[in-house]
Amino acid sequence: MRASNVLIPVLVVAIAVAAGVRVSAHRLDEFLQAARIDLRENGVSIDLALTPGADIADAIVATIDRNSNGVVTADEQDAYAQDVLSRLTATLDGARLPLRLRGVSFPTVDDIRQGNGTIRIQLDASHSALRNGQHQLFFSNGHHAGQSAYLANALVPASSRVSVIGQRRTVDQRELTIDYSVGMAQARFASGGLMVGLVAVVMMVRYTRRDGNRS
Amino acid sequence: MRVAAGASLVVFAMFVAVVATLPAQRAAAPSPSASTDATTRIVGAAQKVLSTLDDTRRAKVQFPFDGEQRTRWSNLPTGIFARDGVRLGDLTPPQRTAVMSLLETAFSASGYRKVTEIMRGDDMLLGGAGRGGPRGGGAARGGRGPAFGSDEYYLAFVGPPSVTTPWILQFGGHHLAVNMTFAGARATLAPTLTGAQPATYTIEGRTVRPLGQENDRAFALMASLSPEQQKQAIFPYAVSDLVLGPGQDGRTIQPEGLRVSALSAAQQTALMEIVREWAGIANDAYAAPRMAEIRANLPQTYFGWSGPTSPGSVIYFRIQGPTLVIEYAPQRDIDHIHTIYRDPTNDYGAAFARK
Repeated sequence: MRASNVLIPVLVVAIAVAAGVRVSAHRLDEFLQAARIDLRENGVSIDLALTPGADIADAIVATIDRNSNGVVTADEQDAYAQDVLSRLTATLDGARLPLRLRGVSFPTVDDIRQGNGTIRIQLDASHSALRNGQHQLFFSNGHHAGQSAYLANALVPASSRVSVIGQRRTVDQRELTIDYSVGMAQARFASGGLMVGLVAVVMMVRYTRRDGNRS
Repeated sequence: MRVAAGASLVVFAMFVAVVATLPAQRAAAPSPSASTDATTRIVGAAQKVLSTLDDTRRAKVQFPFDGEQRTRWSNLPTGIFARDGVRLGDLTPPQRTAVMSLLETAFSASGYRKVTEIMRGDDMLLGGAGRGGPRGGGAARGGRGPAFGSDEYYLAFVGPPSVTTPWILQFGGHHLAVNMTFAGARATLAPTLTGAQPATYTIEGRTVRPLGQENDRAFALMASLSPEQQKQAIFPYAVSDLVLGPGQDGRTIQPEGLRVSALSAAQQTALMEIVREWAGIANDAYAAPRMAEIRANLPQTYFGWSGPTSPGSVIYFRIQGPTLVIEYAPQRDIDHIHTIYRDPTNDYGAAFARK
């Protein structure tokens, strides 16, 4: 294997990190946005955790607390969540997947200003049960682009019939593509020995049947 | 006749499958006498702490096992995150000595050293060390700014210390959140957060790196990988923070990276020595069975890396297996590190409650 195959992703990531370097005690001047995506046979849930750094918190609070009374009302929470939602994109197998707001929780304005406030937004998308086989979910987060650090991860699906095949991201994790399959129950973190044994069982059954057909 | 032979082979194959899972189950079992003795000593040390406290502080240090305190912890300093429990800075010298003696009993020698070095590091931060410095700004933000230093660490008992019923020894402050759950002879450290800023400091002429081994062992493992293995291990994207840090209880992310089964025996041993930097914080009586459990699960464990492979670089790495998640995440600077240690099956002793 050529060394460049290893070096290219390393250099790209190093440049991305260096571009944001400014020594600070905590993530003060960035908006940390973490998306955790739960895949099901008939839907997708996305949990967004948004934590503005203390240095940019005033600007974020200004967009949330629109009447500047120091309290984030239910209407203001909903308006902010809808604004975030409008900047997200999700597609399933290439078709747009409408996301629906399922829940919002806000810390106090003081906590946000201190850099200790995480806004949590839960989103859902329902779709008809997927046919057995491979599928692809694309997720893009365009909220507060330019001053944000992103994390995007698929959770291990709760159903053993759904399994993640692979994840591809942009270098900044603003976009995530998840390839996954629906169908035969998959063993997550299954014991290697158990898997070897099960494969052996299948092979033995096949061998027995083939042998039986010959006789 | 052939059908009978085939059926026998099927039964044999199933037997192989079941037997193959046994080492993992056996490895998870603690050494009963050593861990029972350890729990007895730790509960004794906890009760000694309680005996030094007056009624007010005794009430402040104790919480119900099933209450909210169990999951209330953070990497953030006091002033930004309000902790409950007893604050070291509020204790008398004998009380403080009793607390540190409890930690020394509950942790291994290296674990106790790591914890105290993290606390001393925060003293350095209080004094202006660390290239970021103590960026408080509390007054400017309404007088509730961060407070640094070893006085700002808190002890709490979640559930009464007991040799039989479950309880949690919770100790934390800036860059430290130890949640050590005991259930009789068993104990788990998951979830525990360690961090450091400054990551390197000098005290009495000695250079101290509280999380230096984690860093150095990981770079050494990366250096030992073949280009093909490195290609599989390296994430082609930046990871700017912990994915499963505070507030992320109960989540399991899809594992990524290089499957540890692809590593040589020597590389697997090197990986286990990285793991020991977290699992080995606990008293050896609990760390030994935990290490055996993690080793038994190595075939289903993954090692992932983001960033350059040259030592001294800002990198992120993750080790994830069926009962383990470790993340090491410098905060854009090698002098400021956050890490997390979890067991998706046993955070806060959840598995102990099921057995």
